[in-house]
Amino acid sequence: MRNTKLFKALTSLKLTVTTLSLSMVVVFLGTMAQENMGLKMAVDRYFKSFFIDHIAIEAAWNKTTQLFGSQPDPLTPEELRNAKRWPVFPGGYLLGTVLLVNLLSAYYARFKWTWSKLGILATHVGIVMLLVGQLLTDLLSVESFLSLRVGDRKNYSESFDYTELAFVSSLNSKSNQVMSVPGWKLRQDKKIADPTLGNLELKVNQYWVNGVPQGPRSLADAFKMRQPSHHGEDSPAAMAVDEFKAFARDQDPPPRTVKDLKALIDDFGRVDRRLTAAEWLGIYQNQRGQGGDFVIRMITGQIAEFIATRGKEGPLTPREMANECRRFVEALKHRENPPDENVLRNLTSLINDVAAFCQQRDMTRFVRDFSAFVEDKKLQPSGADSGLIAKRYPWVEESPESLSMDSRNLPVTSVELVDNGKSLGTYLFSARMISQEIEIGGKDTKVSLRPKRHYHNLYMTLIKLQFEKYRGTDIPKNFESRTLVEPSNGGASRVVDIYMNHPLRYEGDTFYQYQMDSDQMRQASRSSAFQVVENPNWLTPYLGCLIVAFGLVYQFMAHLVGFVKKRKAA
Amino acid sequence: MSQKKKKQSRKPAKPDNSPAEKRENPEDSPQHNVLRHWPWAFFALALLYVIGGLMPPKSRVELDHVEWGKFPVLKGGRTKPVDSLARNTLRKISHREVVPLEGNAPNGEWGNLIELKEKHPEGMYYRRWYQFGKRPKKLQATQWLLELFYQPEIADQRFIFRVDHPDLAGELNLNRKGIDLSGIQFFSFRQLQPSLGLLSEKSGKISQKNPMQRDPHENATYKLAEALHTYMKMRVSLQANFPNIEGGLKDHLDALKEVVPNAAEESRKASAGEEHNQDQLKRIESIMRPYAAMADDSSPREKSDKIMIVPPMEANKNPDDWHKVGESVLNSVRSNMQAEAEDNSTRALTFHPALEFYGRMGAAFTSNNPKSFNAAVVDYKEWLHKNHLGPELAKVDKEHYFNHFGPFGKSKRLYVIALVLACLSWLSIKKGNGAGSAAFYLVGLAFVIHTTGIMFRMWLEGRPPVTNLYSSAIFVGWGAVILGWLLERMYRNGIGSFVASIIGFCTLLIADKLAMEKDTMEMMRAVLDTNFWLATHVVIISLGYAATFLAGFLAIVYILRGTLTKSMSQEIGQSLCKLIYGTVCFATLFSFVGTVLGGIWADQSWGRFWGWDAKENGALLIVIWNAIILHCRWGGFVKDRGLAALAIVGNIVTAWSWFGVNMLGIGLHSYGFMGAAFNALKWFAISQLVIVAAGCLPLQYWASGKQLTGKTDSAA
Repeated sequence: MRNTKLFKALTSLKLTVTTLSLSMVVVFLGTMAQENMGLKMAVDRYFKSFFIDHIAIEAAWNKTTQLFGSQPDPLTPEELRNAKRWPVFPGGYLLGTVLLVNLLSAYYARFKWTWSKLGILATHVGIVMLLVGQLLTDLLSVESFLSLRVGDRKNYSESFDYTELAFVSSLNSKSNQVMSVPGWKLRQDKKIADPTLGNLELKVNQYWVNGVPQGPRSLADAFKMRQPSHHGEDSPAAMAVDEFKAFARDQDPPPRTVKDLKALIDDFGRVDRRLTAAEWLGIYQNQRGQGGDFVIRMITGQIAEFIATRGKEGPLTPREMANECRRFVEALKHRENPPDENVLRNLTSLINDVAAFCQQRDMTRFVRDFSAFVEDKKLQPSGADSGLIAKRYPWVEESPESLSMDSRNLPVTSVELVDNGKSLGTYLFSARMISQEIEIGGKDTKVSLRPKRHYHNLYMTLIKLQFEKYRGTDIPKNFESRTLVEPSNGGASRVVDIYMNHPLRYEGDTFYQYQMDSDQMRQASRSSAFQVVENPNWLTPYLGCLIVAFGLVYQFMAHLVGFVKKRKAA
Repeated sequence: MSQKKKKQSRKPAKPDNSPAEKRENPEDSPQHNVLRHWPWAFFALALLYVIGGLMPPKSRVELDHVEWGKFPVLKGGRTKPVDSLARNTLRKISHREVVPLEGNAPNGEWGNLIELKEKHPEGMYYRRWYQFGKRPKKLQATQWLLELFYQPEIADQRFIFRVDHPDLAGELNLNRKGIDLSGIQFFSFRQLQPSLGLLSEKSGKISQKNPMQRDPHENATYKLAEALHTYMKMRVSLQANFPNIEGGLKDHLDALKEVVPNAAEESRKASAGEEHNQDQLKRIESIMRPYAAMADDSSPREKSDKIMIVPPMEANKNPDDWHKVGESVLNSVRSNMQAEAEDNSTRALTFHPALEFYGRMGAAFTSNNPKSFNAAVVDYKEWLHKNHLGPELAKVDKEHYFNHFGPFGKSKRLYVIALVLACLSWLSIKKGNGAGSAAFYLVGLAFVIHTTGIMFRMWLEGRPPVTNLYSSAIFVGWGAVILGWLLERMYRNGIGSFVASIIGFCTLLIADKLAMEKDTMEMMRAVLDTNFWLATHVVIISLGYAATFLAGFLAIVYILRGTLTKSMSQEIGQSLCKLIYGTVCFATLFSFVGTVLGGIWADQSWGRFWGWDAKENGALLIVIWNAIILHCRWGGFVKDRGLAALAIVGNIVTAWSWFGVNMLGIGLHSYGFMGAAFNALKWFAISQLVIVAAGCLPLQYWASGKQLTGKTDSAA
């Protein structure tokens, strides 16, 4: 066997060099592809696969050419995921396997023990451990995410990538029964009937990988967020949003189609917005002076007095009210004893502000902008008719699938629930929303689409979160979470500080403090995030590295000593 | 051979004493005996140059700007001397640490630039390299900052804004209107002021664009807009140097002291609609408005980069209680009015003492009264000591001295001289010639200064040597220099000195470029804030980079010397290849151990040993490449030339892993795309490939081909 051509090829150094060279190419391209594909997909398609497909290569090539001034369009998530793929280059697993076989067969064929070869031997043993260790880590480790607000107590972490449709019903006062359907199944199958679900059958109407349920009020809120605020005060458009929300709340039946919604917005624009002078000034006072500002009160009082003397208390249209204010300015200027120039200038500026404020309550612009905003959203009907979420959010705004590690996909799905052949209605579920209570099989069941949960043998409570920045900068100096760790089996609880580079290791799980940037901190508002890793194989790379390092040091020192001896001898 | 004998063998043979021999051999002449010590004389001169730089700095003008430069300020999360603030700002704007005051008019007339500019609107230029007799007067960074703080109308006329792109000057209607320095134009703030709106609008649009897709013109526009932003921010960080605001800090403080007492009562009357002193309230408002603007930090950009000049009042109790000048003025006025309103009294307004001292200095500076300025500097320093800021003062004093000494600049200059000497040594046929020795001594001296600089930085920061990209450049250079110097110590053939000095010089040059962008002693983010991993992983991986570069540069010497000169004998070629091989072994060891330590750090911080992050992959590429070289050598697939070619490709792999991956905008080590740096990287890679191609030429085309053919290399 040792003399066969195949065996000789397997044991050859040429094969080693070729494999290493191909590994260089794979590592380089696998790095370049990360921007377009996202880290996870790039790792899966380059390093955790036997062959690399041509789409993955194209993603890397695009990035490479970008460095040299070209501006290729990045591949869409759809193209990356679903386009027909052809294997064109050896992947990480194949190269790792070949390297392993090459190394082991070379030792089998040629190995003869001498002390001088100890270094090389140890180096190769360590490399084998690293290769096998990485494979085991790929297969066995599970990463998840635990987010806690101060005072929260949890015994589970949540998956970054996977969701589940969970059905939680109460068994007794202490325990719940949980059934779940994985998100990928909802995405793939139209009909799901599983023994674990009992008599319940799911008919998946639609599944959006990343989406936001939308309704008239949530759209109005989204529109308001886009309006600029001036010195903390709402702009006129933003104020109109509040009025629109109140208007939309009273509509019965609520709009079910986008056409209905646009008609509702038009109706809102046509509402006769006539108010008395006192009402106009009251709104102004509340908006600008928050009710307490002395100068605002003084000015509004004077305007009211002026309008009263003219007998024009109202009701007035926005334009009429603005005109009344302007008349007051003119009257001020032409008084017998006009105020001095500075006072007059200040008063004029304030009264003009009241006039502008009233005039901007004209809703024509709001109707135009808001309709265009809704049009841009390209809303899709949710297809759901039952439950609170479907009622409030008749549409789904589809967002592009995110491949980045920094953002998560939050799926939405509309599912018809059939219990014992009887339809319970079509419900809308979203990973952004809390659970809905539905009666299934005579039991009140909480149903929600949520990140897949990983349960741990502990309960963790966040006692205190410390986030320090360097003075005068946004550079994070320290993230530290003081937690109470209580073993699930009732063992002694303890207080643990988890901070950067100091994780908590507990029964095979490791909890790492996650460093957030300032934006994330603001959004998370006093909540701490931990990355949770379950990796039974975590010690292997440490051992592998130690052995390789020993081997290299041994070999290097042996060469060095030999070299020095030779020089001395010369 | 015993050590004694070896030492003797290095010395030149003892001259014969016979008078006839003396006459015949010119090397034995007394003149020659003196000359043969010239390497030591050269070394002594260099040493004098270094020692000269060690002298504590002193102001050359009566006004003591040097002492002023030692005051502490807080910026970027750390206290630093005003001197560092001034240098960093000027470097960012101008890429220099001094402001030349003199230059040439288009007709060759030499003089003060501002004065000449009035006569010659176009075509002026800085001192040309051949104008040896001209030594332009210069403003040191602290002098420039003093001027910007206290006499901004003069500072606005200094030609400090660098415009790299010729089209940009044309677009701003400033073609040939700046001061030219080798094709780069420098403009004053006054010249650029009319274009502020245009530049701000353009830079806003450019900032939305992917940095990788910006063209050189956009890069230059963005850089200029950033420089102007930095300048304007600095302009109003001590005094309210806004347009239409008259007077300096002292004037404003005095005016507020006069009008603020009793203002609470007037303000109450105003809000109650009673008769009140409107003038008083208006005057307060007009003085306070610019200080309120100075205090404003509502923009995220300002919030993340404040310049805090006012130190804490009780530094031993509230060491972090630094404030911006605007904040401090507002706080004083507000608290005075509040106290008056609470007990219905009239109180004298007092400001933070630091403001008073800075006000005094400003008044003295503008009235050109150095004595009064120096007295205010001494008084402020005394107050800082009394206010328990002694330790801060000691710290910033050290940094100030470090800035003054400038060890890396000195090492860089010495490396250049050593490089020239090492090249000269190869021209001489004789082995052990003076130029080689001088190069060896100079590299040693430069290395000592380089080391001192690194240790000084470590002492200042309280950190291991490598904390950011800038310090990694310095440290990688350091590692390569010590290895190269040791090789020279062993072989004394000029190659070690050459390689050490060229890598030392190049890495310090790269560090210089990196220092243009930001503070080189920036604070560490929480995840990096661990001295243990910085001292182990980062140091070892940097040594791995250094060794890979050293092997690559030795290989460059092998190929260039072999192809271009006839000086490469078989013996030299073989010993060079042995050196390359040994260095690659060393590089493999260090890059592997460094990578592994990085993995362990990642496991401690992020929960995974290996995450295929761009930087991790970069490090892996170096390890694999070194492994490929070793396996190729062991398998006999390459011999000397092939080994050299592979080692040169190692330079590309290392440069890519060190800088390239950071610019991809991918992963956890992304520092952002730097167009200029990427171009440099591209050209470096191309140059290396050209050398590799030269190395692949058949030996018959090599200048030293004849010497090398035969046993040395038949198949590469």
